[in-house]
Amino acid sequence: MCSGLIRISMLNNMAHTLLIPIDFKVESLKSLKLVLNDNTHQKLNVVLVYAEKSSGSITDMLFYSPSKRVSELCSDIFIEALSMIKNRYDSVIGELRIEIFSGTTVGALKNFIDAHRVDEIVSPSNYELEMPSRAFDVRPLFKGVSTPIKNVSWQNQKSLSVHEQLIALFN
Amino acid sequence: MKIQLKITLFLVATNSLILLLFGGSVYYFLYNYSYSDFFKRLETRATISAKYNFEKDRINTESYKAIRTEHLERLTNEKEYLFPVNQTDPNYAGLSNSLNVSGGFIKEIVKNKKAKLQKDGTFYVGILYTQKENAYIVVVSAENYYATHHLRFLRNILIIGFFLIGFITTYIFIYFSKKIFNPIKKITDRVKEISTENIHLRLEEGTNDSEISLLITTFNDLLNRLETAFEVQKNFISNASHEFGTPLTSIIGEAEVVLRKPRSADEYQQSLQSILTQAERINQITQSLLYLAQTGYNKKNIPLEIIRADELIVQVKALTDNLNPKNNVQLDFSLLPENHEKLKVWGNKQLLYLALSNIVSNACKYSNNQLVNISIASSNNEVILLFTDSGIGIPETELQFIYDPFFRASNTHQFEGYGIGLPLARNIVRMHNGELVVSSEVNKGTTVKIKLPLAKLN
Repeated sequence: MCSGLIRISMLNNMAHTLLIPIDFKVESLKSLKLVLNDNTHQKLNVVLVYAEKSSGSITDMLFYSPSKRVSELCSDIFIEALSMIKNRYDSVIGELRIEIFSGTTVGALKNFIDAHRVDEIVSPSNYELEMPSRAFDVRPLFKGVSTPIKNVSWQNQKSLSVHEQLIALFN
Repeated sequence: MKIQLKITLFLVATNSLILLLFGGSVYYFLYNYSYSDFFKRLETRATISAKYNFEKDRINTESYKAIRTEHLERLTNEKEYLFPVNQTDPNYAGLSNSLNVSGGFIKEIVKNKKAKLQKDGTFYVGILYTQKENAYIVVVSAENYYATHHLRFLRNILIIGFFLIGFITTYIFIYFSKKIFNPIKKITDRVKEISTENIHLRLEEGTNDSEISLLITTFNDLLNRLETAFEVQKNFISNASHEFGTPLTSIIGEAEVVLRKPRSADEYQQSLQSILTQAERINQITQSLLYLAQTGYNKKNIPLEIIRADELIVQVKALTDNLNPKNNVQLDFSLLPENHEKLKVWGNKQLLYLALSNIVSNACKYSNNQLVNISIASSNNEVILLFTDSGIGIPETELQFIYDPFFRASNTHQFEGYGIGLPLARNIVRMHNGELVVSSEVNKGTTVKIKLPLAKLN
C-alpha cells in the first residue's frame, strides 16, 4: 500500500508526455483541450504529431526541414487556437511541440514514441483527421504499440468557415 | 519643376563643380610649378654659360664645361645668346630684333640683372653678367617640352575624366532620385484611383517605419475616417428619413384622429401615451446616431483605462438579464486564461460595454431568445471574444453591407431595429485597434468574433 502511494506521487511529480495526432485544423486541438480538462497530472508535456510521408524527390529531401514544414502548415487561426489553449492551461503545460512523423510502420512509430518519451497517446475516436496528399492518418498504427491509449470523443461540427473554426474549441 | 528633377540637377551641378575645382586646381598648380621650375633651370644654364664663356680663370672654365656636358641634358631648341652691353643703342632695338623679343626684355635685364619671358611656347631667361669693367648679357631660350606635352596630356585626361565621372554620377543621381520618389509616385497613382465609388481601397502599408510608411499610414487613417463619413452619409438621408418618418407618421396620425372630436380623459391619456412611445423611439434613434457620429470621428479623444475583458462580459450578461429576462445567454469560460494579465485591454469601458451589449442583444433578438454563447479566450497578443447564436443568420450576399448604418438584412422584417447597433459596435472595436468579424449562415446562426489587443503591461 505504501509503495503504491509513493508510485502515485512520483507519477504526479514527473512530467507526463502526451502524443496527440493533429491535422492543423483547429478542431483537432479539441482532443488536447479535453484531455487537459480532466488531467490529474501536475505537469504535462504535449507532442502534437502530424503524420506525413517524406517526399521521394531527392531535392525535396535535401532541403527538408521539419521545423520549416511545420511553420508552413500552421495557419494563423491554428496558432491562435493553440495559444488560447496554452494560455488557459499555462501552469499545467510544460512543453508543447509540434512534430512531423514521417515513418509509415509500427516500428518507426515505436522509435518516435521512445525518442519523445511519450507516456500516453490521446486518440480522437470519432474525429476524421483531414489529411491531404502525402499526409496520412496515424491512428491505425497506434494498435501496434504498447503505450497506453486514451480515446476522446466529441460531437463533430461540420464545415466551418475560417472565422468559425475557433468555435470548435468551445462547447 | 518636379522635386525629382530639382534634386538631380542640384546633385549633378554640385558634383560637376567639385570635379571642376579639383581638376582645375590640379592642372593649375602643376602648370605653375612646371613653369617656375623651368625658368629656374634656364637661369642655372645662363649662369653656367656666362661663367664658362667669360670666366678668366681657366680651371674654373674647365669645370663648368664638365658640369655642363655631364649633368645638363640638352633641352628642346635650347639656344644661347651672349653679347656685351652696348651703351650706344639704349633701346637695344637691333639686339631684340635678332633675338625676336621685345626691347623691354633686354632693358629689364640691364635694369634688374635678370628677366624672364615666355613667347610662343619658347621660354627666355636673361641675366646680366659683369666681369671687371665689362658687362655681358646672357640669354638662354628653350621650349618647355614637359609643359607642352605632359601638361596637355594631363589636361586631356582631366577633361575626359570629368565628362566620364559626370556621366556616371548623373546616371546614378537620376536612378537614385527615381528610387526615392518611386514610392511617392506609387502613392499618388494609388490615391488617384480612390474616389467616392471605391473609397474602401487602401494604400499598401510598408513594414518598416520610414517616412514613406508613416505617410501611407497617415493617408490610410485619413481614408478610414473619410470612408466612415461617406458610409454614414451615403445611407443617411434615405434611411434616416424612413426611420424618423415611421414614428412621426404615427404621432401625426394619432394626434389627428384624437383631435377630430372631443374625447374622454381616458382616451386622451391613451393616445398621449402612444405618442410618447413613438417620440421616445425617435429620441432613441437620435441618441444612437449621436453615438455613431462620435465613435466615427473622435478617435483620439476617448479616455482609456485598463479593463478586464471577463469582467466586461459578465457585466454585459447582467445588463442583458435586466433588459431581457427571457434571454438565454451563457458564458463559456472554458478557455479563460490562467494569467489574468492576458485579459487586460486598454479601452473605454462605456463604449466597449455599449458595443458588446449591442451584439448580445442582437444575438438574443434575432434568435428569439435561443441559446447565445459568449466565449472568451486569449492568444498571445489578443483577447478573443466569440458570440454565437443559432438565429436567423444573415444571407451571404448581404454580409458585405451589414456595417452600413441603417442597413437591415432582407430576413429581418419581423424584428424591430434600425440598423445602427452593428456599425456602432464595429466603430467602437476599431477605435480600440481591434477587429470585428461576422460570419453567418441563414437559419443556422451568426458568429461575431471580436479581437482586442492586449494591454502591454511592464
